[in-house]
Amino acid sequence: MNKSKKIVLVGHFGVGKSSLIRRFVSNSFSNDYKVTIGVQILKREIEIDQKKITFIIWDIEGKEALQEIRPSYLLGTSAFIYVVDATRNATYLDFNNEIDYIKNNFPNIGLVSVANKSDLINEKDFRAEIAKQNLVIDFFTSAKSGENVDAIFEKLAINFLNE
Amino acid sequence: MKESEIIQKYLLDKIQTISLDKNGIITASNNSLFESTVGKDIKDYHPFFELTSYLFLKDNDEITFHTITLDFTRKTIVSDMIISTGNKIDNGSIIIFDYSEHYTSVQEVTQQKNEMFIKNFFSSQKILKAEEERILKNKILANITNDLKTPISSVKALLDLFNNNSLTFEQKGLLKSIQTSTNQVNRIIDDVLELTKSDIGILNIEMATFDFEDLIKHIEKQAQGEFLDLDSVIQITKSPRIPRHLVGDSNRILQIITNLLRFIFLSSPNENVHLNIEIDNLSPKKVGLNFTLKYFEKQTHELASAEQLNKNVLSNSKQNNLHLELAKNIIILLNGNIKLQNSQKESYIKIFLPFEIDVLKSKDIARKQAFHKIEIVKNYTVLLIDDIELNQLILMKLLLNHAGFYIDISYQMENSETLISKNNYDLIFINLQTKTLDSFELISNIRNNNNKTIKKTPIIALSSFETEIEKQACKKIKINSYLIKPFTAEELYSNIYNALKLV
Repeated sequence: MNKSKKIVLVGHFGVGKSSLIRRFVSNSFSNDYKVTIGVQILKREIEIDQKKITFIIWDIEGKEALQEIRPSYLLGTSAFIYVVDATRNATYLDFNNEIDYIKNNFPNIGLVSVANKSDLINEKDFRAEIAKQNLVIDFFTSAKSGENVDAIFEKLAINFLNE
Repeated sequence: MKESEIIQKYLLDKIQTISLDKNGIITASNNSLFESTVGKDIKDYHPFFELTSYLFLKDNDEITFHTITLDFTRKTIVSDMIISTGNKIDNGSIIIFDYSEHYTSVQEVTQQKNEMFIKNFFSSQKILKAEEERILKNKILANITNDLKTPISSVKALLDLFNNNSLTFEQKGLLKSIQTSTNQVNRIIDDVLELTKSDIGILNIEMATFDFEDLIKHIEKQAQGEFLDLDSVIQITKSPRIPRHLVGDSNRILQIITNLLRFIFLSSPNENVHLNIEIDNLSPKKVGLNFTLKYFEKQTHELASAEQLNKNVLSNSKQNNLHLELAKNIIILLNGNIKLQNSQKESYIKIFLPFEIDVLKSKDIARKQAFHKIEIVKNYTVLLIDDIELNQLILMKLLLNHAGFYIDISYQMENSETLISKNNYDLIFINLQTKTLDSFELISNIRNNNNKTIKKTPIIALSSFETEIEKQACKKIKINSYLIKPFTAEELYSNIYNALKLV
């Protein structure tokens, strides 16, 4: 049976949410930054252990705080992907509070955290920095190289199929 | 255009209404924005409509969505939508408002704003990183300079000892050359240290009442001592209206003038210099002074243009002269300013410095007493705590030259404490930079000793550099005196006399 799941990408502007989705859906990348206004919705089906799952991915305009997002965008959400920019600490200064906000307000909804643009940083230094700040980040991704992008959705798919 | 046509173009053509049953199957559509066929599932048209499966679970609900981008093969619509979920009897509906034009302009503005924000972030990060690197570099430089101070101070002190011995005329000449070079190296180290301090924000300004006449004398004395060998004349004039007792940091002003003279003589050794000090502004409590250093060319030589000089002094260019840079930093700290000008035959450095006038305390200004050596009849026991052999040697020599002192030396904590408890010293010297023990802990132990005589033993602290933190710490643990290296024999003896209450 084909399952359909709504995934919402959240995080500050310019962290690469749209680029991650473009990489996942159409395997493409552009260095140009184009601001997302409101929401863009894309769709991709993947197969795990011969079971199909369709992701309806809502790429929401970047906001500094989750409270600023229109509640209607979050209706019917199955999982959040919280994206930060590994090159800009301003995008993860409030990381733990934002993650707590999701966990408290959407307790039964999946959550994956992602540090994008990992191709532009020294991963060892970045790991040390986030460890110092007690930040738990699930995936280090690069929309540019494609590294770990599919892995995010594979993890979500496995979780959904095991529900 | 007719009214009906306007309504059609600007209103009806921008709104699409779609009716749906509970399963999301289209029952009616006006197809204004995109083709949607009756009987087909709305979810087939765009992934946004997948949401209807979730929303339509609830009857009679109405939800508004803003700024939804609908990408179709041929066009993209940025829209607002109202979704009514209907019920078992009435169909649900979707009304789509095409606001593409409005949202496109919003997108453009947001794009500019976000790009600028990100650009500013990386610019400030770059500045922050450069600043961190600069501070780190200066800290390293400050440490190296401090390390250089000890051996240079020792060489200087040893050379001073030579003066008392009988030397041949040739030897005296050579000794003078070595002393001049050593003084020069010592000055450069001091300047680098001051510069690094000012760069890392720890250059101290100590405001106190001072005698302006004394300052002029100091400037004259410093200039004569330092630039005597040069074929130059330094003339100082001042307005008689300048109040005598001012509040400011006279040592820093002396440092500014000395550094500017060094700059002038380093760039052109045969200059004649005229320092003129005039009042810029005067009120009962405040005075602003203009210090003008005018230097004349005695020989024709190439001078940089005033513009270039200004650029060199006032910018952070790598070619900045150390002396000018240091003078500039101190002037800024004293809330003053500096300008450079030159004409064909004369060049000027103009400094403005503000002061407060101290009228009440002027009579209480402590004047330095001329040094008179005291003949010591009694023999005093002295303990020197220092782990550097050269320092030990210099202090021993200076004390032996004076006569009247027995000296013990120590550089270990346990040994020092044992010696102090056994010998009841008359005086203790401690080098604060002794690496083999914690000098502050040792002083604190002495001051907290149960034996009242030991507790009150006079202590003279020796240090390679002066920091406000160290000075405060010394005050707190009741140090009798604080000597900065290199010191002269006279300074040492004066401090000893005071500590032993011989004067």
